Parts: sequence; C-alpha cells; structure tokens
Amino acid sequence: MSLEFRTLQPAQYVRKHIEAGFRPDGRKLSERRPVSISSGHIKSADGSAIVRQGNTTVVCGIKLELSKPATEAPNTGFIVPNVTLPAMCHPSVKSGPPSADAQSLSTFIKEVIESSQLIDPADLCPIPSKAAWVLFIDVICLDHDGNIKDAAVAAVVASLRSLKLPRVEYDSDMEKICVTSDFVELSLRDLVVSSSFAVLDVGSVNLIADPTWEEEERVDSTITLVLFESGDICLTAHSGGLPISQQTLQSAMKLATTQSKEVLKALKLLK
Amino acid sequence: MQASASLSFTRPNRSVKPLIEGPLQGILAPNNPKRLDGRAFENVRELYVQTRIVHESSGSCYLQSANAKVIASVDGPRPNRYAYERGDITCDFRFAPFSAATRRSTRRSGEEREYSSMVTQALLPSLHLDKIPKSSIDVYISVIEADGTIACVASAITAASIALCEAGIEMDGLTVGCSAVRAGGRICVDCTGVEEKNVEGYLLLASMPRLKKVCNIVHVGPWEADDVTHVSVMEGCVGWFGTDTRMTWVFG
Repeated sequence: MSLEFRTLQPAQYVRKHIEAGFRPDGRKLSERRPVSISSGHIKSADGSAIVRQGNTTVVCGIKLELSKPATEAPNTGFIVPNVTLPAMCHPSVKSGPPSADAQSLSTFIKEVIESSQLIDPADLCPIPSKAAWVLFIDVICLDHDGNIKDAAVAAVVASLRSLKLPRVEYDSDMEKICVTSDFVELSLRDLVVSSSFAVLDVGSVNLIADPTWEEEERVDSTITLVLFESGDICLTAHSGGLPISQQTLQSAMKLATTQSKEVLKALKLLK
Repeated sequence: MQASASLSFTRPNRSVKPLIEGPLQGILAPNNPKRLDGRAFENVRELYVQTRIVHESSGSCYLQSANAKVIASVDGPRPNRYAYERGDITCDFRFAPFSAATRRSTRRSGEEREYSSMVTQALLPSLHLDKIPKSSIDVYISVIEADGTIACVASAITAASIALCEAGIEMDGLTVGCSAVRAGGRICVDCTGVEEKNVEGYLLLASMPRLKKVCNIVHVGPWEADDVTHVSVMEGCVGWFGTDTRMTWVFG
C-alpha cells in the first residue's frame, strides 16, 4: 500500500513523513547520511577522489596541462571545473548536452574554489610569463540520490589534496621548459565542507539535512552553506521559491557547523 | 601573495599535456621474455566484479581489471512504440575526461560512437529482444580509468552483459569480451595502455563461453593464417568467465 502511495503521490508521501518528524529512509530531519571518501585510486588522473554519501556516488578526477599564462595575468594559472551528470546516474536524466542542473553545479564548484581561495595562484604558475598549470577538475556523478553539491565539494577538495604537481624548470639558454619527475604536493590554504538543507513548509518550516533525490524534488527550497574548517562561511547558496527567515538561516548555520566536522575528519584521514 | 593575482577560471586557448622527463617505460619488444606486470603473454588480468552499483537503474555493474575501471548501467526496458517486433537496444559508451594519459574532451567523440556500436553489436547475438517488443533498453557505459583502450572496450562488453543480466533481460548466456594485440610477430592478450602502443594490429572478440559461441569479432591489421590468436583470446574469455560458482556469487 505504501509503495503505491509513494509512486502515485510522492509529494504527499514526503510531506507526511516530515510532518511526523522523520524521513522516508528513517533518518531524523537533521541527520546526514554517512560519508565515505577515498582518494588517489585513479592512476590515469593526477589527482582523484571518490565520495559516497548514502547512494549518491561522485567521482572527481584532475588532469594537469601546461599552458602559457595570459598576458594580463603572467603570474597565475588556470582552473577549469566541470560537473557532468551522465544519463546513467538517474532515470530522469537524459543523455545529451549538459543540462541546467549540471551547468549550475559546475558554476557552484567554480564559485567555491574562487571564494575559498583554497589555492595560491602562484603555486599554479611555476615559471611566470612562460609556464602555467591548467587544472582540469572533472566531477562525474555515477549515482544520483540527492545532494550532489555536498558530495561534489568533498570530492574536489579530496582530489586537490591528493594532487601532486611536477616541478618545472626553465632552461634560459635553450629557452626550453622541462617538466621533471620531481613531484610536489599542492598545499591548500584551508579545507571547506558543504552542507545542504532542503526546506519544506508544512505549517512550520522544517530544515531537512542532506536530502535524497526523492526529497529534493518535492521540497520548496534548498540552502547550501559552505564552511571553512574554522566555521567561517565561504559561500551561501539559496535556491527555490520559499523565502527563508533569519531564524531558519541561523539554525542551518548551527547544524552545518556541527555536521561538517564529520566530513572534515574524513578528509583529514586521507593524508 | 599579491592581492591582485587571482586564478583564472576560463580555459586557456592552448594547453598541452606535460611530457615528464624520466626513464622511459618499457614497451612490448619482440625479444622481451616477459611482460611488464609479470604475466605470461596469453594471460588475462585479474577481474573484480560488483553489481548493484547504481541504485535506481534496472541493472548495473562495476568491473575492475587491474587498473582499468568500467561501470555499466542499464535503464529499461522502457516503452517505445516504434520498436515493433523486437526490443531496441542502444549503448552509450563514454570515457571520463581523466580516464587516459591525455585528457579527453567532455563532448562525445567519433571514437566513442564507434565503441558504442561495437558494444551493441557484441551484445545483440545473446539477447532475446523478441521477448520484449515495443520496448527499448539503454545501456550506459562509463570508463573511469582506461588501461589499454581495446582491452577497455572488451571489459565494457563484459560489464554491459552482466548489467543486462541483473536487469532481467532474457539472454542465451553472458557475453565476455577479450582483446589481443600483435606486435613484432608476437600475440599478447589483454594489453595495458603501454603495451598497446605501436602495434601491428589488434583483435577484439566477444563470446559466450558457456555456449562456446563467438558473438562478435573486430579485427584490424595483418595476421598469419595459422595464428592461434582466436583460440588464445577465446581461452582468455573462458578464463575470465571461470566456473559457474564465481558468477553466481556475484549475483547472490
């Protein structure tokens, strides 16, 4: 009986659960799914990570390429983030050019990297005016069960931590750039963790931490908070039609601060 | 760090893969008695298979063969009123951008289209598509790490077949893919990326080891008439297929 209800009236199914104070998969409203992160297993990529958050699975791979720095910015390198939602990740996703969801996720990752200033631009430019690194950060979602943002941010941070840059030398007599096999780790200024909440108004406004696909589709709004290790805010994103009160935002902040500790612990264990 | 310097997020016009100076890796040479990873020339790599990887798909499979990692996911059978007598199957084969030494573009290339059709052709003989008229099946294959392009297409065939089996599509038997290359007069089965460089020809064979039938052969390059390649590659398939018990453990 409940399976028919779930299929025929999914929005009501989710609402009834939230009104009762728990979710279809049995979690409490503020409970996140357990996260597992592993990095460095893809040998063809220069940096890689796989993140599993419940059923949601995301793979990130970083490829390095060399380029001449831009003339107006001779001391900095390039970062090109991209998020792909292939058709395999969920039956609702069609194959073809990147959807609006995928494009907005790519922009989100770019904003997180830019806003957090995780990477020192000078680290990506070993020889000013001559050689700069281009970091192609590709995130692929293998299984979509909601909350790709959090998983993608964790995957990007974990793969950046696993990234090793080869040392570059410049021979000024021959005017030749030599890439040696001496690898140096990329040092990150800080660590960031993303916490997403779905917001559903069932009379009272409820914050639902780490929504699944089923919940994400049927809620009014989503808030994402990206926090530094210190608890400072790196980025806030809010989408959806429901206006949110200051109180809700403060509760989300508190929850995000406590919950990000688990992901930070997992990220630190990688080294 | 100067405040004015900030990262650029737009892609530069030209960027190249860094050529790292260092000792050159050994390539398959005619007088090498052994392969780099210590295998015999007719041995295949160890296989690891896991199903139920993508939770909302009808069937899915993760296949790892040494470093090569492939994921296949099946969506369907879905209603399709244009497929009158037989169900329709489409494969979408994609390389992840970070799957090879040189980064691949996220746009679908001709090479990927070719491999998609190779995998479809390999799967067709074993499937009973007439049992699912007016339906279509989509098989999505994503290569996370490729260690040997042709070997990776062969793994994709195996992964797709296992995923189709989990999805409950009726079939005569599991299709297993295996590949071989010919270099310096020597046949080498299931080659890695390094071994596949500068070869005279390659062979990709898909078979149903249970029924001892060949589903598909793709053969490029000149071969001797009395070469035992086909047999070696078939034995490679059988080696991977193993006994009944191994495959039932995967599904059980």
